[in-house]
Amino acid sequence: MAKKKRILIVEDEREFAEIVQARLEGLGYEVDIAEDAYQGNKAIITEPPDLIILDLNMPVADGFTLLKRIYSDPSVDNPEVVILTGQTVDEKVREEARRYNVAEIFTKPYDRVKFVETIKTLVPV
Amino acid sequence: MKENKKILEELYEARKTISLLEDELKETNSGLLQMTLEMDDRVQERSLEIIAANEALEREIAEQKRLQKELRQANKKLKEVDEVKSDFLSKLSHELRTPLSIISEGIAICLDGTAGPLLPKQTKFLTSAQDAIDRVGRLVNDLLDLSRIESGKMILRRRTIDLCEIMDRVYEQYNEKAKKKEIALEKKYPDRSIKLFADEDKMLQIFGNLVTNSLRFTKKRDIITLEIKDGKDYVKCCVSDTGSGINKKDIDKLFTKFEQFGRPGGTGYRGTGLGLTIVKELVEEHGGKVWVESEVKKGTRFYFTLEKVDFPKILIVDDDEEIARLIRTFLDEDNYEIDMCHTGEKALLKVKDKTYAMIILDMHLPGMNGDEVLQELKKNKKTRNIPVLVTSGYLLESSILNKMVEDEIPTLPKPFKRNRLRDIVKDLLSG
Repeated sequence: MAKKKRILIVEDEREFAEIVQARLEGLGYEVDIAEDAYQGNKAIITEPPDLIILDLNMPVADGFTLLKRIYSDPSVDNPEVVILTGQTVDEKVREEARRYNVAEIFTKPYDRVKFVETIKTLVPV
Repeated sequence: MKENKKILEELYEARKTISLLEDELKETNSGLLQMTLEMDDRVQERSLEIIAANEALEREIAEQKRLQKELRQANKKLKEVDEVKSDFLSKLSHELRTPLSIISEGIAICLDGTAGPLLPKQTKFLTSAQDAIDRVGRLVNDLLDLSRIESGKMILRRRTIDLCEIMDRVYEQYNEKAKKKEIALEKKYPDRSIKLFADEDKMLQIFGNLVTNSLRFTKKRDIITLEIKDGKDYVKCCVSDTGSGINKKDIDKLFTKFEQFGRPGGTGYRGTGLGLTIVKELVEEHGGKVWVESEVKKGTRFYFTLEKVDFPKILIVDDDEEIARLIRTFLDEDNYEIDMCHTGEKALLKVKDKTYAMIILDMHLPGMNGDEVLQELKKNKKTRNIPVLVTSGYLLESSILNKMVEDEIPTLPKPFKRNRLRDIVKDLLSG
């Protein structure tokens, strides 16, 4: 059996992250949760995921700070990134997201059908 | 002697005449004096009146000024209050979003069986809970939308879109729902496409809100029709239904926030009371108008117009004529007005006489190079804010690249693909 695709959820709302985790595991992915940008960074270095689901507004360091870190690190392959946030997405956020090749931005409460479709397209199970 | 007497008589007569004349003169004089005095009096009177009027006017001006000042202060306060309200709404909505997602996701994951099998009764109650939470979610989103519109923070991301295609998507999205209620969803539009420079998401939202509204007030065997008609300055759209119609007295209240009333025979109150207000705001942002025609038991027609805005003008600057033409072909489908030129000097002349929405600039030009063109563009008020996309035949030197990143100027190395270019151009134009 081929190795399962890995997804990392970086999200400070643990309860929410766990539900998304359950949903994605149900689809056949291997899913880890990091509760802030630092944990996320550690997880990415230890075992690079195929895709990151990233919250923007988190304590300590925000989502873009983490992306900047990953992008400036030549030893990490740039993973696919999907943003899932409660923050209002304005042009500034979109602009920044474009710079990091973010595939899609979802705002909470999000369209779960479209969300799952997007994930499946980016990293087929 | 006789002679003397005659002279004396004559003299006497003359004196009499003189005396008479004197009397007359005196009389005239006194009359004149009288008139002068009267005139004086009247002048005096008028002067007093004018002075009084002036004083009154000055008082009035002072009062006006005071009122204006008060009004300004009141306005300022009102604005502050409004900002606080918008800010509060936006914060509240954000704070609601995360817990809402947890509730909604938690229910969804139980309902779809991921968390184990459910009994029919559990499914039933969870479905009701999900419907309710989705409604709250919609309300939060609507509130956020509205507070953004009201605070002027909403930015239209205009791009060239085909309104017929938008309608197809709306049709696809709602057809299933309509079928479930046994309502026929129909669409009518001309054979050719209707190109419009507008915000795609907002168009979907306008049509979506109107169809949702119609679905709420129609029942079995009713028909909902989507319609678009192209015009010279405006495109006219209509969402009509054969549903319950609206009472005359309620029509004026339709677009008011939170105003909800059961239409006669309507099937419920499931709306947020914000959908139509948002439609009105979004249509107006697009330079259009919205209005309603309705008759109880016959149905309702929502009309709106969208202003046709000129297609954006793009200037392609590339010394290689073939490449310039290729870029133009790449952008063919998107309805831009495209000009080309082959040196930086010419480009600077062109931007002087025309207002461009965007410039696609090659870095390596003979004579003035791309970087110098950028500096010149930056100096001029008219050209300072035109988005520029920098293209280059080989990798840019890191010093130039760093500068581009710093100035947030997007760069696109050649060769590039058609769709990549189209996407970037659309993004830049809508930003």
